Amino acid sequence: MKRFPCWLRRSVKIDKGLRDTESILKGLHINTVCQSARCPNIYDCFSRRKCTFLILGNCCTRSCRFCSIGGRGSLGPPDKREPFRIKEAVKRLGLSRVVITSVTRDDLGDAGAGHFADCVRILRGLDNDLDIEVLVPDFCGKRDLVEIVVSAGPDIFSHNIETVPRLYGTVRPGADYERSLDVIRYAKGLRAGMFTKSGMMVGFGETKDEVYSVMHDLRSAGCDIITIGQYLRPDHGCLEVQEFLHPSAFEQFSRWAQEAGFKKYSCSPFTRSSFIE
Amino acid sequence: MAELKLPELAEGVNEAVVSFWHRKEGDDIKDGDEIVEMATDKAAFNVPSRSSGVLKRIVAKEGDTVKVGGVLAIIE
Repeated sequence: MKRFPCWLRRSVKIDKGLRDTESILKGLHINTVCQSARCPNIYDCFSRRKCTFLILGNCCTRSCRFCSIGGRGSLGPPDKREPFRIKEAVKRLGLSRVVITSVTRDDLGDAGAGHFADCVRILRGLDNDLDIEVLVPDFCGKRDLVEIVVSAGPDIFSHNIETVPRLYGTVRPGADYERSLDVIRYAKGLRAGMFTKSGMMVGFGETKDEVYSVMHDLRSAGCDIITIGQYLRPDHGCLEVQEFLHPSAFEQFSRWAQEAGFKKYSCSPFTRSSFIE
Repeated sequence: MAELKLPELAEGVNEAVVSFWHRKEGDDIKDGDEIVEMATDKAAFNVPSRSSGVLKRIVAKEGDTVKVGGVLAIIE
């Protein structure tokens, strides 16, 4: 059978940390993108008791072709107790840095913005020094919804650009490249001291020049932090990987990111928006 | 005698395909040695041995799909 290239193999590390993390999350009925998206970094992260919380359910209203978190289950109203359960998980896991993301909820009046804000405010109440990152959907480009999230005071406002504009139709139907850039630009404009961040995947068949252009578009939009990682297909229903980029390509992306003036960057095969190597 | 089993992986992953045996029958194995590379749709990962001894028999061949808990090899 076809093997993954050598730089894309990980070791299974099943230790007490991993099982503890799993049991804390299960006990509190918390979803993580790590589990839902079958992240290959899960052994590394969970064994160090790190995870990325997935709020607003496990059922998404978009159907991005790179993602396996689909339409299973039912869309319900936001669970008002969820922010408190996350607060409890943060406490039990002993996190000093929290990343919260969500499925896209175009069905909700505020697309879930208020729920994000609730999570940030409730976590702030736990520990003022907690570093809080929100990784948000595009809120259909509605600026008032971006404001709701930013006003809650996250340390990092993150929105993933995911791919190059030419491939939006195949990779990310339902989203719009310019709209996503505008979400980042608008958030940065609301609070200059807040970091903005964006991530993209490579391996969909984009060219390096296209990646270069996206990096510069993000910088122009006021994006401070960039992550670039290899796309890996979560299951057979998703887009096939067109290319496994060699680690040297990621080194080149890192140089470009530095030259472009990103304050922080992580470009490597296993980099994920909340996993920085 | 110990069975090298496909460990219970992170939640949501129930089976994996044997993609490559790093070791062959007759090899001396130490606890912690990476023995076999498994693959899911999304990723490849190495499974370490949890015992020391001789790799007596490879049970699951390259290309075989193994469920969590399924036996991959016998170490004696």
